[in-house]
Amino acid sequence: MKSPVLTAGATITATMTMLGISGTFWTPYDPLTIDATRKFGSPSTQHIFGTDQLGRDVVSVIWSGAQTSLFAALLAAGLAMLIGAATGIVAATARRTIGDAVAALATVFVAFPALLLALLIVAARGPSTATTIFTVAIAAGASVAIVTRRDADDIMKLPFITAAVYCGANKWLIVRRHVLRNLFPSLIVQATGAASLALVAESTLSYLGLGTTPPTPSWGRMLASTQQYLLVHPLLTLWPALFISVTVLGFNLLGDGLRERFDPILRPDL
Amino acid sequence: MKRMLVAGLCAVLIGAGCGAGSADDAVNDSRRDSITLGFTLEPTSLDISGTAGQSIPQVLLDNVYEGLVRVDENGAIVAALAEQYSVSDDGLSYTFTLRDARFHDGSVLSAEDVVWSLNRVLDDATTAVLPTQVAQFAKVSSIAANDDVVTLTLIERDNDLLYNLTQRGGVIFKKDTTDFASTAIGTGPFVFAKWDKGNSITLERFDDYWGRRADTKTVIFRYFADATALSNAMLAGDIDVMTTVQSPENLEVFKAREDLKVLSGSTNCEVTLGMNNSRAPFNDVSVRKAVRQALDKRSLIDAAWGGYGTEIGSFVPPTDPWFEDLTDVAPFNVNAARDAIAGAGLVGTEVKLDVPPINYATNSSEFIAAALADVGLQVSITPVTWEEWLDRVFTKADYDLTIVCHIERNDMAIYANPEYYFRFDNAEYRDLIAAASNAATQDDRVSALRSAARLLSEQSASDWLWLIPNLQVAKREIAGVVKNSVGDSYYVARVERV
Amino acid sequence: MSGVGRRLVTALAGILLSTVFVFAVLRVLPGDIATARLGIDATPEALAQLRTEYGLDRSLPEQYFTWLFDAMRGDLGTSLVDGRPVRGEIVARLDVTLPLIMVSSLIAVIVSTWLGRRIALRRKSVSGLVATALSQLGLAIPTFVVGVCLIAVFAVQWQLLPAGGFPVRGWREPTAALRSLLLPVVTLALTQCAMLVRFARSQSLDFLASDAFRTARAAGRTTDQAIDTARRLVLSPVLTITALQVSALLTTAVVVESVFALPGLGSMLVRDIANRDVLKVQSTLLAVVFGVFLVRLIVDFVNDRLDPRRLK
Repeated sequence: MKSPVLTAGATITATMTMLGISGTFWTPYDPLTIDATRKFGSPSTQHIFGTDQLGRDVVSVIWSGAQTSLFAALLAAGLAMLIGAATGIVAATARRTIGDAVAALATVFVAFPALLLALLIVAARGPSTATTIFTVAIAAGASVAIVTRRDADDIMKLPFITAAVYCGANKWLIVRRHVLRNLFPSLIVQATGAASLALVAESTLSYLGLGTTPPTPSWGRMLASTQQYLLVHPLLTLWPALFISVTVLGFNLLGDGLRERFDPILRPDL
Repeated sequence: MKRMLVAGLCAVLIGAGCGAGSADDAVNDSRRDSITLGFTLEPTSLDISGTAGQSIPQVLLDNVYEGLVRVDENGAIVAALAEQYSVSDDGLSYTFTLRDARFHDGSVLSAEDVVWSLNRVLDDATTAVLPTQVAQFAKVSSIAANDDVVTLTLIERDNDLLYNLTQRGGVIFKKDTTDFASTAIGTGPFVFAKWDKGNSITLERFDDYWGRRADTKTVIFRYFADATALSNAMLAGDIDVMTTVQSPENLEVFKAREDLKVLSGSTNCEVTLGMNNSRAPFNDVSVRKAVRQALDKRSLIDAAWGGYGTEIGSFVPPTDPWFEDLTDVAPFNVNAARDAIAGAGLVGTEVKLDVPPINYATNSSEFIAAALADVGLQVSITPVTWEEWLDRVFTKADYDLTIVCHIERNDMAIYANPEYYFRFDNAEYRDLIAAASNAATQDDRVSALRSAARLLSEQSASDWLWLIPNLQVAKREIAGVVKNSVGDSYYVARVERV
Repeated sequence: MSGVGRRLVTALAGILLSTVFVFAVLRVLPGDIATARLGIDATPEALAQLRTEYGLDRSLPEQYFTWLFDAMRGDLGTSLVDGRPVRGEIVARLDVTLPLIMVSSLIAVIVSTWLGRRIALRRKSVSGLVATALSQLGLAIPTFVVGVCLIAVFAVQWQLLPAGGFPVRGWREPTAALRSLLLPVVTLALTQCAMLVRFARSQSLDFLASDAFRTARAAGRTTDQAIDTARRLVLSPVLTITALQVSALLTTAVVVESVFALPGLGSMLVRDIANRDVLKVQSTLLAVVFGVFLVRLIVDFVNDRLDPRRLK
């Protein structure tokens, strides 16, 4: 790989994913064991990142929290892409009236503040990680739909598509072979964007008491529950913030790198 | 590059803000005779008799509204709107002689106002008054007035009546008041001036007050939905008093500051682990006792509340005359707890813990879940909003375990109500509470309540995790802050800057 | 113009759809205003009587259309909890939320279009990469952490600015009001900026690859001069995204209002949902959605002027 951006993004994303998967099987300590005598421990050789407000080993909590956080982020991004790309392409290729109706619906969801959606869901069903996933999927999905429709519209106007239509190519063949392939760079950027959004949203919703429920470890919940000790024990807030930031950075670099690699227009160097 | 830009932007904006900061001299002048207190829970309405929640009496009771009697900082009942009062020997007749007092709109307090106000609470069919208040006055049969003398007649002796008269049910309104929700006209040392919703309530000194006038002209109750925001406001000097410390871990920061002082007083706030006595597995007294024995209260207090708290073995704070140390009724003993859970065949049973959004509950929930898992019960933690808690847990008793602090004084009677969310149904306990309520002497009353507290602990009706001390932080120059929390009100008439 | 007409119809349909959605969702929430107000020990009779007083026992279509027609006449009703008129409450809260959102958006749009172009030009250099990384860091740190850190430094450590809250007398204490909005505005602008920079950068890259750029270079302009002509072309999509993000901005505003204890629209909504003040929530959301569509229409209009190609 020539692009340093792509290399960095892929490395970070892969490392974090490995962390998430391995955390399911093994962590240095049990991330749920509470020991009040060890609370707010400074970093030491036994506990490299120290211990938290309930005496749990921070390394272990981060390690096993990676699972919840990354799973939520990837699932939300996947759902958003599925909903958004599908509706966007349908809106662009179907008849004008259907396209407009789908676009109007997407606009409503974009206009509706996502947090309020989360609040209403939580009021009805209680807080959970699923609330985060669902809210982000809907909110991001709607904007993906709008962007995809715009991009697909542009692509449909390109001369080679017109040529394909004149040659009598099947509509779905055109969508599969040409539209999707040309949408790919834009979709990749949006997917990594949605994943970062979900990762950050997970902590924001936890902060407002709407996200992952205790004691399940998650980066967002760690961040939200330790910010009250920021003035006394800033390290506790720093660790989850660091992991969230690095992962989001990884997602975005990966998206940018892939975009530059696959975008036929950007490829020739300036 | 961007960071430089942002830093530059900050500098410019802050420069603008700070430079202009000294301009408003008039505002600064008014600040000198004004004190701002920080709270966490804002009222939803001003209707002190018709809307539930402690935040309404906190700001209005004794400050804006007054009753015939008032409870002082040490818990003693003293005269308020009644200049003097007497109770007949049989306890069936209470006589109050009214003072020359004025309402904030200038009208004179009359016996008719008192009769009208108290009759509202006696009406069983009303929806304008909270059912709990109506229940507190159930033994009053009639109210009569003669000039400045008001007489309450009872069906049977009620030793709690005088205290109940000091709380929100005993508040005296102006006769024929209709708007309770958006304004408050009382007789207290402060006039309700302004409610800036979502932000603050402003009280102004009432110059025609019957007694010693308030020491500060303007008192502002400011509300911070987020406890961290409250503590930051105190550290930044935005407020003069922080009336509650929601994360005692941070006390070190306040103690280290020269310009601030930490105040510690007593409360009646028993952090209670409620167990649903009507539902398996907690309908079994041995299971309830096992839960209590599984929890190391000292460690729990250290973990959840920075070590600031008193262990209590029953539902009585050490300041009550009928207190008795009952911590040895169900002492910490993991093995005994494990055996009891195994003996009941419950190993691996899943129970739900509903946690309302308040620090003492969220902080202790994970500790409790871990400790109970250790003796064989799987706890799933469900964070709930206060509204869901009130609806599902409190009203419908649809829960297994929950954590909440019971702050009311003299509140042992709640366990005598089998419909209360504990669903503790015990005839012997009810008899003891009834005996205390109509005991002829104080000794009889104390001994009845003492037996009741012991019975409650032996039955493990709930677990009582710890008693929260009343921790506050104030600027060094602020005097007159009430240290002990004895009732629902937060009395501010003596608060001043010295 | 049919374009304008179609936009208006879409906006109206969107607003109507949102009202139906909000109305329906609020009606299926557990617990209601009556239980929230009477709290403990409420008898079923008392609850029923209170519901009748609030008009909650009428049929759902009746409730919906009464509310909708009143709202169309400008009457947003009164709060079920404290009996105050909803419109006045919204206007009072806008005192805080409107400046917060508008000023931070303005700062974010200006800074991000400028920064986006710079980064696009220097994307191969170290300073460009550092700037990219920094802007992504801004995206990666949750808003509340940014706010909490700013408070810790500027309010607690240096005591330069208030940690939160809004003056009791509002904008009649202009300096105090400005000071209390300073940190919240910076917090919100930082979050928005991080997102917009990314977008402005990608728009600038598109421009660098375009025929227009090549023509300008061929005509002898320097790269800097050439990209300066693209200012409008980058600004236009950035504005579109900003308009799309108005509702997301309100989400962030809720967080900022919570961190800084500001009496804004967002924190009011959160509280009203909790109190099951259904009428007020409906009306407030209607106002919010209306505002979002209004902003979008304005931005569309401005964009038509900025980018003449759109008018075709």
